[in-house]
Amino acid sequence: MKKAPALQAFALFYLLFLYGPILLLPIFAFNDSKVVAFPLQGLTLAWFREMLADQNLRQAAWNSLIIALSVASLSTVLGVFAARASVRYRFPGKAPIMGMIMLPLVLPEMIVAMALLVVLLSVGIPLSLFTVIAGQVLICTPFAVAILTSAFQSLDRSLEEAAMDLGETQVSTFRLIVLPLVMPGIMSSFLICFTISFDEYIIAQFLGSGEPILSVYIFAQFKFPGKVPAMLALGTCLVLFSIILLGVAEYFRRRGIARVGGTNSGGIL
Amino acid sequence: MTAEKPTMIEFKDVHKYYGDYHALRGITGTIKAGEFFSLLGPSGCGKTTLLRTIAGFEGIDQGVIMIDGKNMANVAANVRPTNMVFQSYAIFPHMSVGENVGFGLRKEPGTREDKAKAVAEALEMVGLKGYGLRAAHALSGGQRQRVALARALILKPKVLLLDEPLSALDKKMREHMQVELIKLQRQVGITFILVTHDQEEALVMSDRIAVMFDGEIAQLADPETLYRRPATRKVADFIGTMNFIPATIVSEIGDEVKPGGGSAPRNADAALRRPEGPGAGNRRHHRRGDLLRRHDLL
Repeated sequence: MKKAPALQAFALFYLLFLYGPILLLPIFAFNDSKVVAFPLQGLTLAWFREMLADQNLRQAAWNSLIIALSVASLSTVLGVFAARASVRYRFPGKAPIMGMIMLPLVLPEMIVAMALLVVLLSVGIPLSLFTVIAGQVLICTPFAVAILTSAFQSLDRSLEEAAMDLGETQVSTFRLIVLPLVMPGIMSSFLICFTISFDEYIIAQFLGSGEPILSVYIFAQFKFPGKVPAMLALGTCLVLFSIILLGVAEYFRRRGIARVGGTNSGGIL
Repeated sequence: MTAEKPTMIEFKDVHKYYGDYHALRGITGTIKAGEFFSLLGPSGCGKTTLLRTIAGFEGIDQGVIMIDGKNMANVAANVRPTNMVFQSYAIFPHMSVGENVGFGLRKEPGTREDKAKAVAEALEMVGLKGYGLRAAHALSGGQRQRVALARALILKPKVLLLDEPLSALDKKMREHMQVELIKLQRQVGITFILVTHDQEEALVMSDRIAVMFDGEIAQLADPETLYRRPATRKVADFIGTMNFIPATIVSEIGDEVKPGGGSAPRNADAALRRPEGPGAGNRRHHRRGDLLRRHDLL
């Protein structure tokens, strides 16, 4: 392989720019100073203690978890239906219907959030965690559909026919053949929707009822310099959580591929 | 030829449309019980569509398909007395070989031991004894096909449908599997219906062949007749490498046609073939006899 020093330097700089700031998170989370600046002052776990002691933060994390799990589940279930329908069946108006499902992907989230808020208020539905969930499902479903469509597309049609030919009904064929084979896609869809929902801000801000939600709460806390180190401690925990989640997902993806003897076509890792 | 066998499948004026496309144009014919029957034709002629209508994967727009005396009009694929070997073999990749073969037994009555025994027997029948615990995805093409065969035959169907099962194999393996399939068919006595675009394969393996063009059966006959007396020039052209000699009919009395010169048996559109020419078609035809004799199947 030929070496191109300029390109190598660019790649290095790019990676540093991308991941360097994240490395600052744990550094300052353990730094014994209220000011987020070099030079470092000394090691402390005070910020983590402060983070854990924060009642509102705990409530926000809990609410975010409920929202993210609900959004991931709903979006993935809806995605399974839509992807299955688009891959397997022909029906009148299919192209416009699929287009409408995918539209939120390119629609500015601001617009969706504003429109939903206006509608909810005029209809008289009180804002709550539920309205946040509904709004985020709208945003996440296109991602789920995109991931699951490719999962369903890679499924050989004759596998289902073979199962039916051997006496299974539509329902049992779906359960015994289709579901296990698209399971890696379902897992990816769930994790991506979970992640999108977990750090989603605009809809959480617009459609929330004032109950603390993590993304909104963190942003609010940054207004108070004294709260920043605790938020960095929280950020450190979230980075760790993401890495673990990603690792688990990748483990299951590789195991799934190994089990059906496919070739690894490159996943997230 | 043996005594007249009972009818297993009967088509009466079967039509199938895909939108505006007329895929099957009035298929009529019968397939007898215990027969090795081939649907032969170029790609797009409707042979696979016809096979899929027998399996129940495709509905028909007009006409009747009877299997073993029963109208299949409202019978779903999962309750028809047919099983299929797919072109891609459709081996379930997330199951072991044994689980694949035993899949059809899931809803059948019987104890776990009975089913395990049936799976072992089916695997032995196709020459895969002891492969039950292997992962299905680790098999070679020929082995996958055997698994597909065992899986389809374990339910003892009245009709086994084979959709170009040999097309994915290399030439040597293909010839080997041709013999295996003929042997297997004789052993189980089930009606086999093979879809193929390979003339040689059809001539070698089948008791009778339906040659299809453009959604119609051009000729339905045994290999000998098909080869010696093709109904049309198109059939003759498709069956073998032929020499076509333009000729004018001078006179015809009964079966004797006198074209401007020599004399030859009558041929529907007067396309005459050299009776014992050294063409490739001839060699193909003789391969059936050779093959069957070699393997003591005649």
